[in-house]
Amino acid sequence: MENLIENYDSLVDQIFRFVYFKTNKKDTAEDLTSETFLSVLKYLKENKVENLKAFLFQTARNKIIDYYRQKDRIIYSDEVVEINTEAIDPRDEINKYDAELIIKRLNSLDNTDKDILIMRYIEDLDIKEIALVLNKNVIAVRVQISRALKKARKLFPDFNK
Amino acid sequence: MIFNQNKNLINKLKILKSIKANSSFKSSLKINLQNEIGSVTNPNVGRLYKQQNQSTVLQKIINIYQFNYKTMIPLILILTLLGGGAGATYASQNALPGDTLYPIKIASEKVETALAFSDSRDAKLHLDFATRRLSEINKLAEKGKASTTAVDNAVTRYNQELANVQDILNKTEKENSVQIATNLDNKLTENKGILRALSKQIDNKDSLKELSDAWEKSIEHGDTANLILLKDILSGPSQDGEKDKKVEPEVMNKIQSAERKISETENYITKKGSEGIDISGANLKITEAKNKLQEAKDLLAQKKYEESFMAAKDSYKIVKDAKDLVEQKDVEKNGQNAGQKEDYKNTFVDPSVPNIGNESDDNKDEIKKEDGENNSDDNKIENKKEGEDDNKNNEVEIDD
Repeated sequence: MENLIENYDSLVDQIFRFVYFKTNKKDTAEDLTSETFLSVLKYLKENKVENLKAFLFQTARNKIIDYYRQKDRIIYSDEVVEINTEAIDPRDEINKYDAELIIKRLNSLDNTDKDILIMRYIEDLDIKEIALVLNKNVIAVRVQISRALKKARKLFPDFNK
Repeated sequence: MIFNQNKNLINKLKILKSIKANSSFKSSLKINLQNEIGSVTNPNVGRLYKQQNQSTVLQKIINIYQFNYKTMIPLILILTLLGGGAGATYASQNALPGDTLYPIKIASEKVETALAFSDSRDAKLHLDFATRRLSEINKLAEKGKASTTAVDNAVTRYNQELANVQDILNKTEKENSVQIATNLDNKLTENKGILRALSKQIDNKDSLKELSDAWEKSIEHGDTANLILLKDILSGPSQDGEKDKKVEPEVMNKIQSAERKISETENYITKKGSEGIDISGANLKITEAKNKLQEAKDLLAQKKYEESFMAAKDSYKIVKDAKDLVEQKDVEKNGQNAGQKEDYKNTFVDPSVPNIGNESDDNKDEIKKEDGENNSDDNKIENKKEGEDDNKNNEVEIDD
């Protein structure tokens, strides 16, 4: 439980980003992030988890699934992505257009592929952690990563240099 | 070509890392969380932090009781342990994974850490327990009973104990961190010795993979400890010349370790290449790693010890990434059959780690690499002498 607070600053951004890329709405992302942390905290009061980070991501994924079930929503690949300027740390120079484009294209991937790419390359989870989150074995995760990369490469044909 | 496409793609994805949550959102969530924790023992929201500490010991003991043991330990037993119930605790001390009393052993360890009176003591306990996990597997292996599940569980617990020490290091006061780092460094050397001995006794591919994972984790934690010790010496009061003598061998050690890893991985990559696996990406990484290593050597020559250490560490990581890449491709091609035992057995090389008592010298290659190592009790002294001589030779080369 102490770990949650100690590592809060890095964890909260990771979960927020993850949820944000899946829901594309800043307010929803904030809500679901809060729900995830509170839910995990309640669980940790009486239980222990092997890997806090993986458990947070697992919970976040479940919250997202519940959210979509409730709202009966399907994401369309050309759905408007709002990159709220508040969502971006103003110290980093990032091209807003670039980011929007990447997120839009990511949206057209399957859920699992998208999750895997986000977890592996943006949030730097290691293979074992991803395996815990997705409830797969390590080898299956590796295979899925390469498949996801393959599909993603097709979505970014202009990044071929 | 595909490697470059992947690299570009991954770099693009990493751009998204700069997206962060709104700061006021983050702070108000943090306050909510702290309120939640505070409500455990006392609805008084004001005295949050103190309560958190007070509830910790009780929380930890409650956690032990409700932990996932299939054999439920009666609360009475826990209370007996606390009240000095020496019998059960004592009887469980030699328990091995799979024994009925083993959960009691684990529980008593948690009680001990819950009652630790200082960070240093807490860290020492976690370090002892980490080593215990490995010794337990060692004993099981001697009886031929070290199953893959047992090894897997032991390694998970081992990694967790090391992570616990890291947490303590991160939040303790500066005076403690040097002492804890020293203990950590020593214990890790011991642990690596046990892991190496295990790698010779255990023949199962999956178990060996777990053991090599523990080895690499030990190296990572060792780096943290060494950096703390390095910074401490460099900022200390002794003369510059004295500082150099203490610090150079450590940095040299890391550079040599990266060098060994590069060569071990090159062999692995070549072998996999001949099996038809695409190694182009990995080879690029190896070149990158070699450049980084040269950078480290140059920095060492300029006596920029911290930077040199970090560069060597980076080089090591790049090599591991290269190996990772090839492992990935191996799995894509061969699925469950990917990877051979030998690939993992080669991980456990480090001349600065002395052999532990029951190792045999049946691995000729290791003898070639680790000159002067033998099974006598003079191991540590002889190895240190060898190490020092090697360092002096290397110093001469660099000065040239």
